[in-house]
Amino acid sequence: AAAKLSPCRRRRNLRASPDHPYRSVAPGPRADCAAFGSSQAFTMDSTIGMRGDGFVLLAADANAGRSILIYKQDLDKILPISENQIMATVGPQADCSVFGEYIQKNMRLYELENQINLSTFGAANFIRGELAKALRRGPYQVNLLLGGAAKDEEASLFWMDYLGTLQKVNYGAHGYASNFVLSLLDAHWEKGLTEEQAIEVLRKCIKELETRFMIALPKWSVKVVDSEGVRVIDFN
Amino acid sequence: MSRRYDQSTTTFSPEGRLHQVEYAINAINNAGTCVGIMAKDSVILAAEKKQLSILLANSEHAKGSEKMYKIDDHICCVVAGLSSDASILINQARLSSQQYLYRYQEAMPVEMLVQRICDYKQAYTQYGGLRPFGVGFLFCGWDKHHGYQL
Repeated sequence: AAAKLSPCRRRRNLRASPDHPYRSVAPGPRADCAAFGSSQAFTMDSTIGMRGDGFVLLAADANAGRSILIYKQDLDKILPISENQIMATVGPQADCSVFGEYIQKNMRLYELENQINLSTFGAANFIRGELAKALRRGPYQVNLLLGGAAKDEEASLFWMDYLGTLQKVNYGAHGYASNFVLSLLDAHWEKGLTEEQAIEVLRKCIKELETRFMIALPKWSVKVVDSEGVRVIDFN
Repeated sequence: MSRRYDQSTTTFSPEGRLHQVEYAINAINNAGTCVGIMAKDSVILAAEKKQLSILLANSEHAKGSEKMYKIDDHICCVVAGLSSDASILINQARLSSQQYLYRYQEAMPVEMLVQRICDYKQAYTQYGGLRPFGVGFLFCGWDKHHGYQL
């Protein structure tokens, strides 16, 4: 059954399939990623996440830009999808906002219709299902980290990519940052991190990016979600 | 007098009653009794089977019973009323449960399933051409939101 709210995707420049009169074919990879030979549009944004003792920390860079231009440096890419779950998206801004809001509104509809909240595991599988359904029609170029800590539930972090891959992880990253920080997270993450410890690990990761990554990411939005709700960490 | 207003489910009688719905309730009242009891650590359902004909196979030999049905691993129900009508609703319940499992990879909350079936039945009391289901259910199940439920 389709999710109740369908995204506003009627106006798409869909090319007619060469061998079928009225079936359309999703547009291929964009011109700027054809050179990479991949179906993924690479953008300069990044996100880092890790799981701690009863909470999940998500950080996303606050840059919005294209090519050599920066549009703004205070864009919040971490969306709350319910009282106890947050989602950090990486990818072209159009896809991230459309998909992000689509998920937010469907989660809210679930809450209103059923008077209960979906667990983080359920939400992760729902989101993955939507990415997977769209994959063969017109993919959402969105990679995301979902963190949640609902009541009666262990804090959990899920790594998802635009192909519909889903994996529960202790720490994760998307974007170019992942090339730099995953090894640091591997070295410094341990079970039962406190919030201060997690923020320290995050600082190490961001310092590494400042040293080694070509693109400057001066501002980050950092959020923590636990059973009480979502908190913004004043990081900068 | 009421004969004039009972031909269709989309017609109110002058007193504001839907006779087709009331006849459906009568069908349920005339069926074999079903009982459900909620305990601290379980829910128990029992159903009276009426043997309508010696030609009908006993439950142990037949494929299933006409009273007790499993909807999913965590939900089951007993039926009172027209067995054929019940089959449609049982199928709908099983389908809803599996669709939920497919989308969320989690067991469907009991109340949500019951709500789905209720909404399905209600449509037949409002939209035209079809009579209501002459079936009553007792659903029981367990989920993490409300524990054991009847």
